[in-house]
Amino acid sequence: MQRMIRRRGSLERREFRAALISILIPFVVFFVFVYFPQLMNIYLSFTDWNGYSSSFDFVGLANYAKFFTYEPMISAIGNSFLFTVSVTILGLVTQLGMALVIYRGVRAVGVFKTVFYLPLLFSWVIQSVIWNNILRFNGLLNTFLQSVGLEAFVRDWLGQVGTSMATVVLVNTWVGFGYGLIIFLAGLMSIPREVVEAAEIDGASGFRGFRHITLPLIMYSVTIDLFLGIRTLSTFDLIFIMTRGGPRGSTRTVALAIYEEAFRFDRVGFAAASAILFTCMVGVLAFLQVRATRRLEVDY
Amino acid sequence: MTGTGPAATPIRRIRVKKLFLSLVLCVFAGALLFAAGTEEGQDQGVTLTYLTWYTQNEEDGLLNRFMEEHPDITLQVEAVDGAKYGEILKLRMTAGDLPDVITAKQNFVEMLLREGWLLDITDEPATDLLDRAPAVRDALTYQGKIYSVPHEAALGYGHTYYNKVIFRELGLPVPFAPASMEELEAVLETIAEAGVEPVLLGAKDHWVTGYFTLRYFESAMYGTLAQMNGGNPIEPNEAYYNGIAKPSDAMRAGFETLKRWQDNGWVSPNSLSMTWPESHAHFAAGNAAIFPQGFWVPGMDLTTQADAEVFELGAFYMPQESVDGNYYASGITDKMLMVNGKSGNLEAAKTLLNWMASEENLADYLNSRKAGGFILPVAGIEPQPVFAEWNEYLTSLEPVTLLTVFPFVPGDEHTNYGQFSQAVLAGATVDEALSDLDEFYAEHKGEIAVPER
Repeated sequence: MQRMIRRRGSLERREFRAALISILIPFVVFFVFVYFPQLMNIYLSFTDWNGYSSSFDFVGLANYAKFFTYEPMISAIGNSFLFTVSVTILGLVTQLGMALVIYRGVRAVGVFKTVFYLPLLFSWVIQSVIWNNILRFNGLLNTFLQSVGLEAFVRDWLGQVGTSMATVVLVNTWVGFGYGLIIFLAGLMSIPREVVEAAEIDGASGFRGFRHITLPLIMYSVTIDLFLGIRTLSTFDLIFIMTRGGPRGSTRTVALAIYEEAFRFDRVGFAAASAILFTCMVGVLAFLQVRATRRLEVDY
Repeated sequence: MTGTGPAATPIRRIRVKKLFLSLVLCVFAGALLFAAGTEEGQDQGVTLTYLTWYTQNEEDGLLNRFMEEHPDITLQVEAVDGAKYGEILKLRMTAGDLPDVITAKQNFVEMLLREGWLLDITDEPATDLLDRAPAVRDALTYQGKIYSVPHEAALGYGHTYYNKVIFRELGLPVPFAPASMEELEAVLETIAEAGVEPVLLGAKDHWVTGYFTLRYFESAMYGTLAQMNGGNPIEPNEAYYNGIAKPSDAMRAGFETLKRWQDNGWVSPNSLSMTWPESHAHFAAGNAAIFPQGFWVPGMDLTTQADAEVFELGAFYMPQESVDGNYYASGITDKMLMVNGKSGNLEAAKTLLNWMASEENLADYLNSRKAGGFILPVAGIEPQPVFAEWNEYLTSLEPVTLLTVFPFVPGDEHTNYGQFSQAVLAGATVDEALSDLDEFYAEHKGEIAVPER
């Protein structure tokens, strides 16, 4: 009996050891590659380190104060919010609209899901390069406009202040279209049939039915979609490839500004502080958004 | 049977453990043997790392020939995108992992020196080249020591290329060497009227317009700065650093020309959506008449392999303005060679440096690059035929020559200027762009590092 107890004890110890190792290894990897750089970032945000020198000074909160007064950063914050609000609203309307069309009137839902989700299988870098080639002055779009006699609409879509932001917003909306569509279709398909039928019997059809029945029931899809929309505040690759933040800084977002401060102007300390503050801003915004839309969700 | 189960399991486990242990030991022993073999191989030779931003095989012939002549040295070439070169160099410094031999622009020499990375090469044969150009030797001497030698350099910029095929088709003079801005602009008007793109800039890359506004109007820029500095020529960043002038004082001629060309429809509408390599390809495909870009253009594959039916390269010097009766031009080293002083392969690294900077190898290399610049006569080479008119005009100016020693400017000065001159193409007025440029330099003034001599 004692032997059995001892054996069970050693088995438990072995299992405990195995479990400990299983947890410890990923934790160490995660700490080294995720938490340690974050902690280093916080540390560097209080310094004037230039990114390559072996020495630097502590500057207290100077980098944090500069974030709110440095004009190029303020205009980048404005651009980021303009970009994100436009992408999110445009995305929400078009994705939900298309999901409703597919849900109500199309049999081959799977085909549409595949068609709209397909672009997401390519990396954003590849998509950005493709769209860049379509939208540049001698690109496919202008060539097409010329060939059908619409020369008046030919312009440098990415090179003019008036059109550059709208163009990158449209491209970003299209590239991310599949995500939102799938989320809304999943929401619509999970609405119980009997609820819809009961509402229709009570006279709630068309827009009234959508507003009072469908929308509240898919509000959790809206929450997820908006949450993913806020993520576009950190967009870098698409804008870097398509406009480099130009022309005249009209598409220079915070992610681009932080990159330039760190790697072009050697102000790693300031870039670190900017990244921390901007992350906080995004976090607060995401929290408020989730809180607001969650209140509108309905359990069924 | 019931008794055999529990008794057999530990024995089997021990066997499995032994087998596993033997396997691990075998793999370990094999790895050790392999490593020993590799080390033995390494004893017979050295692997040198070489960092460059020449990514289109420009240096392949030279480096392969070095390895043929030095079978004991293998070169590992790291060719990185020029637009990202500075960032990569700084990251490698931070990681303490700088290659054995480095090429860099002269402003990085100052940065690398400050951080203690460069080997003193004053007594190396590579510096013999500088005996023929004492002014260059002076410019590269830091407190009595030399740390870098030029591999590619230029005297006088304003390399303005044109497509002779288009010029002939439009009945314009070939060869073309405008003596004044009026003469050049009359030609631009003719080209625009014929429906051809007159001037193409790869302006999506900031540095391209920065390079144009800074380097193509040097005489006006240096002349203005000399006026403001009591008649003594001075390097622009040094003038800004010392509060002698603001960028807007010196850069107006370049910005105004760019604006005038844009307003008159002489700048190709493709300019803002093309990077510099894309614009070069577009020019070499016969789509634009005039192309201002650096002295490397004639030697690039895009130029040498272009279709002769639509493209033939010509070059002229951008017409310059005199200031107080003087013309000015600058000499700048574009590519410097230096050795990492912390390299574990110092002797091999010095061998490569001395080999690359020797008169014979330098001449072969520059001839293969078809480049123009002051290092050509230093290495005993005649300018390439394509630069005949360019050279004739520059010589006729009898310019006051400045051998510029770049101060270290964060962000690369061409890119900095380009950020604001690109804005002119995108609709900003000259005054708005220059005012923004002044603000930018005021913000970054503290980060300019003027070399201590």
